[in-house]
Amino acid sequence: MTNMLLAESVKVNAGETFLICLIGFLLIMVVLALLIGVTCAMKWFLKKILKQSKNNDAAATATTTPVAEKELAKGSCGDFCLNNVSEREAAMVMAIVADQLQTPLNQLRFKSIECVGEEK
Amino acid sequence: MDILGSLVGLWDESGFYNLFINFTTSGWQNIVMIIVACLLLFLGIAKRFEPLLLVGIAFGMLLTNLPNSGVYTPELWISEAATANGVDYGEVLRHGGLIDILYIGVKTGVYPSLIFIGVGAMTDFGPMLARPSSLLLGAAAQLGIYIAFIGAITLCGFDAKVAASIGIIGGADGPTAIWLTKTLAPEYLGSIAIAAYSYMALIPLIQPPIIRLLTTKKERLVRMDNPKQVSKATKIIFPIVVTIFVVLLLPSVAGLLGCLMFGNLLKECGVTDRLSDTAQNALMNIVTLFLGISVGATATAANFLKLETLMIVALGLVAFCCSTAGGVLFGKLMCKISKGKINPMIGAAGVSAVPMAARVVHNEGRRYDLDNHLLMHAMAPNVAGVIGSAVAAGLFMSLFG
Repeated sequence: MTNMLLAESVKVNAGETFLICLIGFLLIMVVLALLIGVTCAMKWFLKKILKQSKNNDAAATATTTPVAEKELAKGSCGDFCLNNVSEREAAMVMAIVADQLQTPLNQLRFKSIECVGEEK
Repeated sequence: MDILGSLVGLWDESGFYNLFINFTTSGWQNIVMIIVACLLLFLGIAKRFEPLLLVGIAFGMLLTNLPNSGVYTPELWISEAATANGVDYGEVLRHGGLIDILYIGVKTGVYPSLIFIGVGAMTDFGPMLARPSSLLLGAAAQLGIYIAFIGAITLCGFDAKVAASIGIIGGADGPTAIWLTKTLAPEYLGSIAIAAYSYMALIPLIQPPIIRLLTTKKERLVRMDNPKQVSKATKIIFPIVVTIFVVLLLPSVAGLLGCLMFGNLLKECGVTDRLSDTAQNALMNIVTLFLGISVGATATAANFLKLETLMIVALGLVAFCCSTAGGVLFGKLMCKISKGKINPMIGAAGVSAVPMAARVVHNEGRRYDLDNHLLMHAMAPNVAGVIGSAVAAGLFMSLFG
């Protein structure tokens, strides 16, 4: 069975073998080195675009009237946002906040508790 | 009705009869192959050697070597007509067994490419994008491919096509090895796939001694700076740019690299989570099942019980060791150039085998300094190695395919 396939086989001598290896290995090096160049160019280009868009945003913000800072309600310590935490961690944070403020937990005001994504 | 005649016919058709009556010719070979298949099953199940593929491969091998099972017909794939005019898929569908039909996916290169979609969807190119120079480590760690190629031709007398398929074992990338071998040396597909996956499973045993031999303690203790954050936009654009650039340069790698980058784009673009999830899990699992069992089935006694199989196993080990050495030596060079900012051990992870090789480097780092965490740094050459081995396979395909 194998012999039948050998009719299709490619015979190379030792010199050709070394040449194929040398060229092959160098080609991989060159292809991946070129890929480094392409990757760096891509990163530089993206960085430039992002920087430009940030500058544009900053310029647009500077031209608009600054919005007055939101006033805090009387007795409030400000907003506190927890994202992607387990119920246990959230409960611990609530307990710590209540302890630090010397306020019973049931007097704290929670503005919203919502699921922002399903765990996969 | 001739009940006795039917019973005799049933016995004549049985595998047991076939084993005994042909014991001196093919029977003993089938028994040896059944033992080898059971040994591989043991290694896969009890020792957890790449079980996801090895169990399938071993079971395919078991099925194909049970006489008269009819699940795989080598003549449909490796015959004079098939070699001269290409495989007649109509004939395969009409007269082939179950595994013949599944094997169409291997022969046409569909399974390795589909697996690469899954691999791409599971790969984070972030560490490599943070340090693009690690791509060179992924290239240097392909050295073993060429050393084994030279050895296979000059020392063992294989022809160039088979030698290329043996060499690619050094890329430590199963789907790439299968993708190349199914075209260049289909008669050795079973042996090469088994050697590739076995050595990938043995990476924790093969690599550490080579790493220790080639590096000093001072080099092993080098701590690397944390990689910079890579923007989401960069991660999204990278697979598109790589596909355009590399496929324009080497069209023969389109099947493999295109699928790898497609899978990665599904993961990174953020709007195809369902597809990415399917590619990583359901698709990957289904294709792995088909690939394993059909590749294993090609390891028939006539193909496997040959001196060449032992040579392939030996050359595969040489390829793995030299690839590791190539990566580490280039890592040493990069360490020198960067004035000690790069730990040369991460070069060993350039041999693909994601993420096993990176984990080995990480463990080696912690062996000498418990707080030296090299995993993220090693992941960069590790994923670069996948690109490197795909390019090496593409080059061989262009030359001999």
